[in-house]
Amino acid sequence: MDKKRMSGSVLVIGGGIAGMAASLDLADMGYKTYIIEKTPSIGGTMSQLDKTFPTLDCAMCTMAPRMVDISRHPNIEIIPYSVVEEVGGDIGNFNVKIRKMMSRVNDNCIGCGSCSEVCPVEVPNEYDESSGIRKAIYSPFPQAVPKRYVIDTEHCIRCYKCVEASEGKNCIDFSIKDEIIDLEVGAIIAVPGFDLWDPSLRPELGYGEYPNVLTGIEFERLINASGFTGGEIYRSDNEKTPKKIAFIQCVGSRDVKAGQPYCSRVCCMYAVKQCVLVKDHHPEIDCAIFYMDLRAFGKGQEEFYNRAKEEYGIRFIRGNPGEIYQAGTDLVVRFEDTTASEPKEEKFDMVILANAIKPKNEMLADMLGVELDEDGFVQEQENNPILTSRKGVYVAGVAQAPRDITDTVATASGAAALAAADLASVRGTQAKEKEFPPEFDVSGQEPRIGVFICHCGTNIAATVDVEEVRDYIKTLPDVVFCDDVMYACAEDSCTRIPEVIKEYKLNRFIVASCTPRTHEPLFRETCQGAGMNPYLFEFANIRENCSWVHHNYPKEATEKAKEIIRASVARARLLEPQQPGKIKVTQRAMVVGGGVSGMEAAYRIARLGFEVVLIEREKELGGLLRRMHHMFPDMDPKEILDEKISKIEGEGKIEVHLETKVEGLSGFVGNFDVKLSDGAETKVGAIVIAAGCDEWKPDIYGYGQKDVYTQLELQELIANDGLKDGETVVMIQCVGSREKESREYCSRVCCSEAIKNALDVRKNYPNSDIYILYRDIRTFAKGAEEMYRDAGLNRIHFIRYDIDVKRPNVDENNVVHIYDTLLQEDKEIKADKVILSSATVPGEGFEELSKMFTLPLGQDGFFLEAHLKLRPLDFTSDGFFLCGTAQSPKDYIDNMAQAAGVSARVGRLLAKKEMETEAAISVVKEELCIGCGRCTKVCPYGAATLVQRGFGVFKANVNSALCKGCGACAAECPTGAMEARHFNDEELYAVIDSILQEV
Amino acid sequence: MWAEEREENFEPKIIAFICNWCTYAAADLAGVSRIQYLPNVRIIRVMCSGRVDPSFIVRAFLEGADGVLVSGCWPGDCHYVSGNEEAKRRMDFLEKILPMAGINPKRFKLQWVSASEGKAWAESVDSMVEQVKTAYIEDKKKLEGLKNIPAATA
Repeated sequence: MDKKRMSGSVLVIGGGIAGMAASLDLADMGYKTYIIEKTPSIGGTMSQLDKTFPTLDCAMCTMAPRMVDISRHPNIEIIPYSVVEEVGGDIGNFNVKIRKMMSRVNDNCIGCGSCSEVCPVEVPNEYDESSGIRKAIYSPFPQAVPKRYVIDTEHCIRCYKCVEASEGKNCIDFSIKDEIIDLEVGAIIAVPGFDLWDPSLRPELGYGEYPNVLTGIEFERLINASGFTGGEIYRSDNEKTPKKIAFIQCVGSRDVKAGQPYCSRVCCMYAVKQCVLVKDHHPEIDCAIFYMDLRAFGKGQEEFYNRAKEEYGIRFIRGNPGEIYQAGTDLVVRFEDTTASEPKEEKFDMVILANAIKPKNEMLADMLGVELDEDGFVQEQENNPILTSRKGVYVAGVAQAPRDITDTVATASGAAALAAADLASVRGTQAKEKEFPPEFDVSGQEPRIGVFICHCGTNIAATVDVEEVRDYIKTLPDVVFCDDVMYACAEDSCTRIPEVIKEYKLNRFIVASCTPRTHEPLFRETCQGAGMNPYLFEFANIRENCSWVHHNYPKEATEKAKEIIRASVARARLLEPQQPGKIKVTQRAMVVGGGVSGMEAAYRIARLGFEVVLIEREKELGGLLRRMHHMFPDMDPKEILDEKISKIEGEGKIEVHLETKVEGLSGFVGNFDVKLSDGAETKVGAIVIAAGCDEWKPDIYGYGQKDVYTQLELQELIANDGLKDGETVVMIQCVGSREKESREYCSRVCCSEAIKNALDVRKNYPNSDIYILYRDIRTFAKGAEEMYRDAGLNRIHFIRYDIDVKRPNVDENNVVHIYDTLLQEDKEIKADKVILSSATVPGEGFEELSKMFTLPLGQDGFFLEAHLKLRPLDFTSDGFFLCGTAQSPKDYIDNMAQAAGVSARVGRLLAKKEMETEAAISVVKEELCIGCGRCTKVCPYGAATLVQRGFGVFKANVNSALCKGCGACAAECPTGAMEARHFNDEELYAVIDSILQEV
Repeated sequence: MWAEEREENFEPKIIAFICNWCTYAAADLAGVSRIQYLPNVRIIRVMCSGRVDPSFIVRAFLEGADGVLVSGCWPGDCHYVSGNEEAKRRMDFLEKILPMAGINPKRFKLQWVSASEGKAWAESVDSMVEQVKTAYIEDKKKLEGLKNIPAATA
């Protein structure tokens, strides 16, 4: 490869959540990034979703800030409404031809929408899955980025009313033609997303024939507050709220005949989520989910499923309906309840079909020459779901297999890391720094406060009377400007903030919307864009702290919202500008845990050009992999281990410490001082927790008796030829997992693991009798469902049990007693070998690590990420990251994706030599300080010290690089000499007084 | 006295000083999970419960708060290592002197709520509202008791 000609830019094809996540990582690492998107806006499928499972976060709320980040990032260029025409060249310098489709709207568009208002043409709205309508000149949804309208030339009737309405703005130009642009990029990340299978191909289900049979995504738009009914659930034929809704799973998935033999991986959970959302709005609606196996395998999902069952009373019926027909206004579902072996019919008035996810990879195959598998997904290379058969071309998300948002985001960061590694030598060559206009001076000025009050669609406005609140806030002293907006975080609102700051000469700004924990950075930056110091921005939370938790008290919630904002106004008056310090970043990382995830993470970080310290407490690298002999789907762990170790040795940037633990940690993001148990001391800028999990040692089902083993022990047994042909092998699933009293979560890997092991037993001992006793078979991973089918063909017997009906039991003679819920009969099986699919449990070191680094563990005992959907690889504490089974149980391929992904997250931090420190720290007013030293005793960071100012005169001093701004010193100070900036006494008194003020 | 100024069946107003990392996150979680609780509480976010100066609480009572709740991370979980321990020390002391100032200590509560305890946050607000109402009844009775004391010296 000719290094001189390498391009420091990356093309991301597809603007869904995967494309967005990859672009932000790349751009922050110092690569110029182009996002090409076929539709007029980035956002993809996630932008259509109401809430996301299992946390029920509002999808738009979590992604909108990122969309805005992208639109503002100096290193990201969005090329909307465009397609790739041709790709030439090779890794390091691809030449890409892009066709910008004629939108007939030029750069003068400000997204005001007056053109759309007058357009007489109504077209089914794709964003609402064609249920609602849009105009021929349109922007796909309110939070669209870029907020630029386009003319859909296919439907435009050329009445030119839009041109008239745009009067003098010169934004609409019918002479615009398709444009071809050429780009040179060093690497390509393709994230095309997915298609959905057409359920009318199963005509017996009545889709397309009966208006109240909908697909999952159509229903998502129906229940979404931003959807065409404003979130009101009603039947399209009689506009009545349904009383009973049936959700039918696996429509076209796990169906060889339909062409999708695989599991679509997300449908079970989105159906559960939709039921819960229905119940939240209408507790009286009966919801029933018809399923084959309920696949709640991801983090927090089993817990969510249990809540749906127990708290929300959602009915789960095990059976795959064979027919739906309409009788009067009812839809009759015919099905067999497999736990009662009887055919039944039940009336519903709405039916939701979970239709299969299908690949959308034609472009990848045709234009990029990437090899696809037999289902049309990308054929992964080297067991890495991000690698394609073409060098320099990476994929993420659903391109390689169906995935939920969490896993999609991890692969997206992974793709960013791999692309960045290819171009490490040209990092920064095409990047720009974020630049803000110079800050205006507010000293000595009277406060002039501006306020935006957000409706958040209906999230706030459904409970709080936003207009009333707005009118009240307008009356407060110093409030110069106040308005209500649909979405404060949407690009149009964020563009308005600097405008109104300038127009009204504001010197403080308040947004009353959601939580500062997610949205404060966005609004602060927005204010900076107008030259306002970010600390002059104040956040009022009227959603999480008000509308969302007081549904039943609209009047009180409205009053409360007024008080919350009034208190913010009181504080805003006193806010002062703060300036961050700058600190050097040690461009070196530490990875804790030398299992496969840790090894891969270390290798990937090194490939980005940074040094890595890898520590492992055992004698050798490899972790749990060392106890495995054959991995799902068909991998040799020894081979993988050898390869990984040689890569680590060959890389040259990785320093490995075996039999080592972390003994001490001090410092902060960018500058950690680490003391290791082997005596070494080192400095690192970022820390990755890649500690692995363990297999639980069961204390049930006769474990400890002769011939009772765990799955890991069985692998050992098979490898050492420890079975005899003709034996009866009984495997029991969910041993210690999915148990409310101990481990509520699903261990995710055991179903595939058991089936793979069962097939291995079958291969080596052809005359064995093999049974798998299961609750739900959760073979969601690529190739797993196919393997499950294979197992059935290979005379492996599956017997379903239900712990709510009767628990299986292993007696002292290894006779397994089980109640088969599908045949409704008790069975006894004399087992020669009982194999327990024992739970995956947090590693024994997790608690120690959690204490050492003050990193949180979730209720399941695994490390708690910053955000389950969009930040699965970060901790909330700066400088700390996680990957692999530290976060939750997962298989090798998912671990590889996370390990690659975490390297991008680390790379973002280490890419800069210098970073800014906390601006809101403590400072000493020396004239008030009596040198008592109490602050030095409460400061946990040693930031507060006493310095001598004269003979016998001591004054407190704060080291700004060490201070984290907790304010404990300010509370301790007896004289008020210690001031916690941005949370000082005056501000807090003002807030207290304002809340309690008599009106 | 406080109880005198309030009407029967009043809705207490409660000021809650909560830390950014645990309890505020729990309040966010309660919001995201739509766990409903009583609207009587007004949250004041501070970075750490260790920032809560006892004077804030005194100020709140002086200005007419019916109850004050302080909440932060569980011991050992503090984002700033030990701020919650400092809070505990200060609040324990404050609790002792509140009765001396004629404030029923039931009107004050220190409660640990972690980031994953959205439900616990909601419950802690609801139970605080109850607790303050109980304090009201207690104080009211006390007040009546005082009134019923025959005026010996008059």
